[in-house]
Amino acid sequence: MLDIVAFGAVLSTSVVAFAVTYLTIPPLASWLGHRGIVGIDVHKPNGPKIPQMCGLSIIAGLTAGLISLELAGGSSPDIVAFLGSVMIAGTIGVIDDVRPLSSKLKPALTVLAAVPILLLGTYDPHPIFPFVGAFRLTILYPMLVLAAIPVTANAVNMLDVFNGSMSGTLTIVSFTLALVFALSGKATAMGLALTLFGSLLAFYLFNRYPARVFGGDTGSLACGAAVGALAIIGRVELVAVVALVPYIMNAFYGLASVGRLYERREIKPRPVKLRSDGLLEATTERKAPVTLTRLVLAEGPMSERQIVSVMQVLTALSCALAIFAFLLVEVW
Amino acid sequence: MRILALSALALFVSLSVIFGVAVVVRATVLILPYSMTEFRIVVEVLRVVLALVLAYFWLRGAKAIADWYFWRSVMLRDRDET
Repeated sequence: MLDIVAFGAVLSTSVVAFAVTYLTIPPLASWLGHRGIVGIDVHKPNGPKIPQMCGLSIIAGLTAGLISLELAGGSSPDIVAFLGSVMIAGTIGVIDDVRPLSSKLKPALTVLAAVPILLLGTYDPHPIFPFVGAFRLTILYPMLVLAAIPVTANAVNMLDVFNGSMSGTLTIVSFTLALVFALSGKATAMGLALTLFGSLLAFYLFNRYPARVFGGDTGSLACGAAVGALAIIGRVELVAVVALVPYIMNAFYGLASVGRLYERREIKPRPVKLRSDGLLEATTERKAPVTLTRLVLAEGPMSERQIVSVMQVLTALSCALAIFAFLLVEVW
Repeated sequence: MRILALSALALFVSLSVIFGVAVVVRATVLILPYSMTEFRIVVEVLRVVLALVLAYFWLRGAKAIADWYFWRSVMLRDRDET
């Protein structure tokens, strides 16, 4: 457990991240709106245009929070590796938002986001599992790091489909990871998780239903890479996997249904359709991917707000189980 | 009801991750102990390949359950509507 001074210092980074994200969103959204960098909210009957790429504010908040964490005495290599991963994934997101990348190139490029972790050596090639303990993977672990960051970045990106779905659920995940780090006394990792939590919470206030801003791939890839980097740097690989179960279910079910990597815009048989009364309904197209959204809508139509609430409940359940997994690791 | 069904699905996936990883790791250690060879890299690669194969089949199983739930729910919904 952390002492009260260390806890206060890392908590302040969350406040800084929250404040910077919250304060930069309105001017950024206005600027993007004026330049026509907008996305259509396809799940609303009138299809309003919403400023896109506001994930830049999350990155700004994270940067400010991490600088304050560094000043508070956090471990520099961990902070630099985390920020490097976020920046690289965010840059790929910006490119994708401006000029959409192919379904194969985007995951391939996000491999680069793992490079700062490898270069700075901020990983331990002995992942810990319950009932087993530390498992030696000294030679292969770096290659798994190269795979892990693209997986988390793109899995998060694939669930960023509704107002507040990504920001709301990842806020819960980042808070859970912060709690796990607090319990295991990892001050810097807790600071990283709280910084992400602060930024996401501020962003969620603007992104929740009805959304006033979209994060775009800039936000979702950066946040996904951040969670992946947290799992590796904080040495909580299994805990993070369990916390991300709704994301993993969504990504794997989609990929297994389509049989290859895909972009949402490429899928012609739509998994979900908007009804005239504003509710969303699962289609009965056999070739459409069975995504998490489609599973949520299997028993009948729902509003967008209700779907996101169900996703948040599922994430909360997964996070509770992630804490259970952490306790199992600690006990065994 | 749907929250219960989906929670049960998420619970199944999460618990099978937690306990399945232990089984997979133990299985790979048992099948491929380090003492088997001097070439540690070979053992590590084989362990990861074996773990990935087991994980893939586990994911296919979870997908089959999700598919069953989805199409059954759609069928029941259509029957209620008609």
